[in-house]
Amino acid sequence: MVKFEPRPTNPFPLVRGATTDFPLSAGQERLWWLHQWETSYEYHITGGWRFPDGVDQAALATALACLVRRHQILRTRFVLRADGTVAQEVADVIDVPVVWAGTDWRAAVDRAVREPFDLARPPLLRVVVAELDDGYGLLMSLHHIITDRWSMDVLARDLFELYEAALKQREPELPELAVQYGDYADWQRRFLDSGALQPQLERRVAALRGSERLELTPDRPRSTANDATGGTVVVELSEEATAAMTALAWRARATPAVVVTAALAATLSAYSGRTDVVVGAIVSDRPRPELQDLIGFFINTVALRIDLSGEPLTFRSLVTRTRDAWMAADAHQDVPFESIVGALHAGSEDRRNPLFDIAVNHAGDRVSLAEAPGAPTWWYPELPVTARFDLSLTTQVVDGRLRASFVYRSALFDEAPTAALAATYIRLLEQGVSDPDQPLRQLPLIEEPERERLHSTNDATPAPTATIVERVQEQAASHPTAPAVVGASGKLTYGQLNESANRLARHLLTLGAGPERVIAVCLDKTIERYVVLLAVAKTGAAYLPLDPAHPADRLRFLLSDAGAILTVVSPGLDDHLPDGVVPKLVLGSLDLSGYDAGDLERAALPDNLAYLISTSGSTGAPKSVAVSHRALSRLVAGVPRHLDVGPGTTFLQCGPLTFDVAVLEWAPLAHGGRVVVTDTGTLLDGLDDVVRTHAVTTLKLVSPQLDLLVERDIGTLAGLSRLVVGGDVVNPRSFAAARAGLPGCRVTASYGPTECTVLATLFDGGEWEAGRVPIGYALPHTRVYLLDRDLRPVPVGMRGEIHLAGDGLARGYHGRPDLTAAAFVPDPYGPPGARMYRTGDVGRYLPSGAIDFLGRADKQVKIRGFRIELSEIEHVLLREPEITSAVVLRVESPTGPALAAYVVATAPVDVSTLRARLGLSLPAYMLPDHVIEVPRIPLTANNKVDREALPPVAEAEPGSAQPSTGLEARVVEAWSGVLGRTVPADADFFAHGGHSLLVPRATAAIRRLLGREVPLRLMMTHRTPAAYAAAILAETAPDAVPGEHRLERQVWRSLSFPGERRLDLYVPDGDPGPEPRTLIVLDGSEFVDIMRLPALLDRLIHQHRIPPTAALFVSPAEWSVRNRELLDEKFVDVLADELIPYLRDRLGKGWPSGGRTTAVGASLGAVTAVRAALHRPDRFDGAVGMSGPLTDHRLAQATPGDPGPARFFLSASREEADAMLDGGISQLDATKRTGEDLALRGHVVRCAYGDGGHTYAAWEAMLPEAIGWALSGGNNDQDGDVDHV
Amino acid sequence: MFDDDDREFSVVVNHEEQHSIWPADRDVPSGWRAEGFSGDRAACLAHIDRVWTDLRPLSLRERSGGTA
Repeated sequence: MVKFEPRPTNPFPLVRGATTDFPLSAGQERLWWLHQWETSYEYHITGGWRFPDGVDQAALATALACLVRRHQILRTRFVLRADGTVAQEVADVIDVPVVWAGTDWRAAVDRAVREPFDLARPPLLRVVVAELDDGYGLLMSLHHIITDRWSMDVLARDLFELYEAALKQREPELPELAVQYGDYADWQRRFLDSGALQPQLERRVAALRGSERLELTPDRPRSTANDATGGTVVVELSEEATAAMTALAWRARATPAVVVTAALAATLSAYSGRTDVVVGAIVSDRPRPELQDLIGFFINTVALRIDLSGEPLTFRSLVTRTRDAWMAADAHQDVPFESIVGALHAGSEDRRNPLFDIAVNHAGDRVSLAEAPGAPTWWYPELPVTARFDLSLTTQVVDGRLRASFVYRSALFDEAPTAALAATYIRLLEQGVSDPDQPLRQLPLIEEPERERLHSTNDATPAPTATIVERVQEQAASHPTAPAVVGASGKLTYGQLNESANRLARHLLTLGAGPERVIAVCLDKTIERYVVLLAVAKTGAAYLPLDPAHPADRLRFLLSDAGAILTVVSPGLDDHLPDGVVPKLVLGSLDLSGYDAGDLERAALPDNLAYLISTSGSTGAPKSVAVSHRALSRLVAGVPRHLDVGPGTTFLQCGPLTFDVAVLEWAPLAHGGRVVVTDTGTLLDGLDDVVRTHAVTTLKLVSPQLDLLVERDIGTLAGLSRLVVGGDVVNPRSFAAARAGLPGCRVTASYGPTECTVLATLFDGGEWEAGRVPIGYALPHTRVYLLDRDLRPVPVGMRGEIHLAGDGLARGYHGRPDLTAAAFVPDPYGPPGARMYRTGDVGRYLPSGAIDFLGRADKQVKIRGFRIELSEIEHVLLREPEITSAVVLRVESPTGPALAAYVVATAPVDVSTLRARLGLSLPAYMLPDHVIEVPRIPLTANNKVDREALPPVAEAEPGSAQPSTGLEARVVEAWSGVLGRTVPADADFFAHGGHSLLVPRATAAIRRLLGREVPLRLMMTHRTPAAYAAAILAETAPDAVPGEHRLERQVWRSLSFPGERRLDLYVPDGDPGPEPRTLIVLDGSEFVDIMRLPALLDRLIHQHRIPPTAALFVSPAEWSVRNRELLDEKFVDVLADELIPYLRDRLGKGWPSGGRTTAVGASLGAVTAVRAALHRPDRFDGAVGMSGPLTDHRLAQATPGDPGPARFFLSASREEADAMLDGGISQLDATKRTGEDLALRGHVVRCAYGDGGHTYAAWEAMLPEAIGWALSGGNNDQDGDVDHV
Repeated sequence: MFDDDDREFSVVVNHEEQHSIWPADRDVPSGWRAEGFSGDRAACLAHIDRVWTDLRPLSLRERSGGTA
């Protein structure tokens, strides 16, 4: 038996406090944050009660007033303080208005339920009284931050007692409240702050580390917009099974809550194919008896991690494991969820629940106060369902039966798939509790009738055995003059085709052709190719198409791997083939006229091979799929039900012979239709001509080809009666465009691997959803199963691997018994002894039973801990109007794996705009890191994406961890302070331990720094210091003060210091006057962009407080060298000898030259400014230095030589008394001492001490005084004195 | 399931003497019988590679009179 640590006891006393000012409980803090992020009715809690005998207005008012007096929480407001903490403050009195809505109450109820609350303005509850058909109803709507479900029972009990008492004018009888919610919050906070929970936090984090978010396949792509609209599906367990559940719980020393959670874990494990399942559990936590009668938010969310690995896991052992997970989580439930999220770096996705999207909540063990005898009856007006999680399960035992309610997010899921999941859940729970020792993985997921329904379109009948040879011969006999094959070089009738093939077959027989022999064919796209293919078939041999474009080595390998006895080659392609491997028969030079043209005796039995097609194996070596005549007959026999291939029709497909789609051409030949052989190349040049010239009726394309045609103009293909589109992912827009652009043409989507003879399923029409074109239903004589990893048929909506069975299956991989045995496995659902082929593709059933193709099983990649379905991203890309094709790949980049999207677009793609648009429907982790435009998606000869031919992703810029501006540096500093670790400038706050509750603190730090409001949500959308700094600038960019001045930005290179640097030149409008002044300002961008010095200069000049003044703001070339540069002796000379002449040059003649300049700087820039005035008195006559670390060694001794006294304005913040400099002196004292020192040396000095610390805000506040004094000239200054302000 | 490298499989054969693998702890589907060999996936596939020398279905082999 595992030993469990008990939950630690809070050692602090829980007592009534004297204050009205409390911290928030951990849970409230989370809700408060969510409210800042998005104000919606998602977190409103409602309760309704019936008043059959009417409502007494006065008594209700009295009762409400008493209720609010009794419960402090009902008159509490929530406020954000300047330090970034949030507090709850209790008001003395608060009025709760009652809306008397009468009979027309619907709108009032809706308003009460949906209208957002302002958490800073209590009451956070609304009361509506409605006149119903049978009496009255009272509805209350409260914000979750002051209540929970249990509290609503307390509220009802209290309200009704108070109401009764008021009505009867008696004293209410309610239990005394020893403490209030704020006392609880304070008590909890002291425990949290004591550090006593650190070991619990560590253990909890260790328990959850490495867990992956469990995700169900949504019916619609996840949008980042938070839509809490929900739907509900309710299922029930039988009374008998409910009793069995209770018994099982009891025997396992667990609770029913554990058992229902275990069944949910089993369901989710099946759905996700994972054995590591994390779900959230919503628990009501009132750890002390004093808290029982309080209203308030006492909800804990705990993450339960349940391990379902190991075989064979029974339901009984799963219950035990779930119990253990639950107990472990319970012991740690005092640790705030946000701390765990932060420590796991799991909060990085905005608008998404961290750690889990699926939650469970068992309400069944609690005796509801409101259900006690004499309790008020509930009134349930129809209210919107809100989904706080993707999916949540609430269970409750009602009348001896377990009722399970699944609430799902309607933005993500449809009702039918959720109902299927709920049915699976109940089925697993029922089987689990009634037979707990059965291996879980063998319990069926769906009921037999549902399985039968989903498999009802499967066709287990055998295909006709007539081979294509027999069928073509029949056509030749009955319609000898009907056209069979047409092409550029002419046409062949069925009679000609058959006779030529007979002659050639007889010749091939002389060369050794026969059943189970392989004859390679390398043919150009002429009508003769069907003479060859039919001739091979007539001998009973199998053909193996070779692609002349392939390298000789590969061809040699294929020939020897297949054991080909002969290669038949078109005259022009002879030299493409390797010599000496097998004998060649070059067409064209043959005289076959001596051979008999009559039909041969049947040579091939149905199970003899008809052809081989080589496919690339995952390990690199190609393998050949060996297809029998029986399989080909299945295709040929099944096709007419869906495609027009009979007499009078003309069929065209545009792929090469080596592409398995080419075998579809047998279908028209078998049914009397006509095949067009043409070479349009991969770009389908002139396809419209071909379609017109040959009156093509039936066209088969692969998805990228359709995209190409839609891009050009699908209308040019008018006249088609049937268009079939296959390939991995059919672009829904192209599909729709084809349907709209080709009236009278049936557009069909198809699916099928070579291993199932080209076509396995077809989607013939009907509407489709989810932005995907379904692949439909099985072809005749074909069975399709969607199975989970335990080979169980899956319910509607659940992902399953597509398995195919029936006569269409290939024999296997030629000469590869091992690969064949691994891919073609026993079919437990078909006739005895049947095989099924594992496609490696994933799909799911739509409610109708049609199959929705989800992508390759191996196209699911894992990046940064997230499982990503690449085809999902492709689908979203394809919805962009300018994108016609898209392929998303996982690529390796210097910073780790990344997503690269290759797109074909009709207009140039602006990557940042595209990413922003994708961000509307894809979560951040699914956004492509690279978007590469390509002229077309390169395809292999088999029309698959040629990954090798895609251009490589350009080197991503190396993670420039260093900030590049002063503001970025300050953001880095602020965030690093909050996170307790250094954050690189390009690092995501939330990926570095940040979580939502730290956002107010980090934002408060920035607000302090800037001295102005910065919206909290800026951090959610700008998550790196660099992006955040840029966003702050963008927010403040349009200068509020319209100035009459020139502000020019230039790029400038110093002669002696490296790099290009930003210069901003400020020149006031108007006449410079007799004594204009000039400033050189260090860290210029910060003074321009953040402290807005140009606007200040405008104002001061306008008010005549300073003479007209021009300023040159110089920024560091690179932030990383800024400190070194500012302290470099020679940098002062750059200011004096390069920048001042530059400034004078730029100002031109209008500005008298010769006057000296004042240097301005803050922080280290202050040191440089003061040094400039001391060392280069020839050019500087003063300095403004704010918050400078002005120590002797930094200022260095000034050169002797006396140009007269300079003016120094030095300032520091009083808070900088705590900032210690190198010499053991505080920044405040250093400022003082430097001031005195300079004054002693005869300079005019003014020292000023302000507030606000080492921040932009403090400097901005000091600037008017500093600039005003420094530039106003000395009227009443006393030389040599320090003027302290 | 079939890709689980740690799982124990049996080599199974159907009426056409087509070979495949099946999890050892599961009932063999109807129409299939255990061939006798079991082991992990790789061992079973290697065994099949040795013993299943003719991929033709049994009925075809019988009708073709053993020529191939």
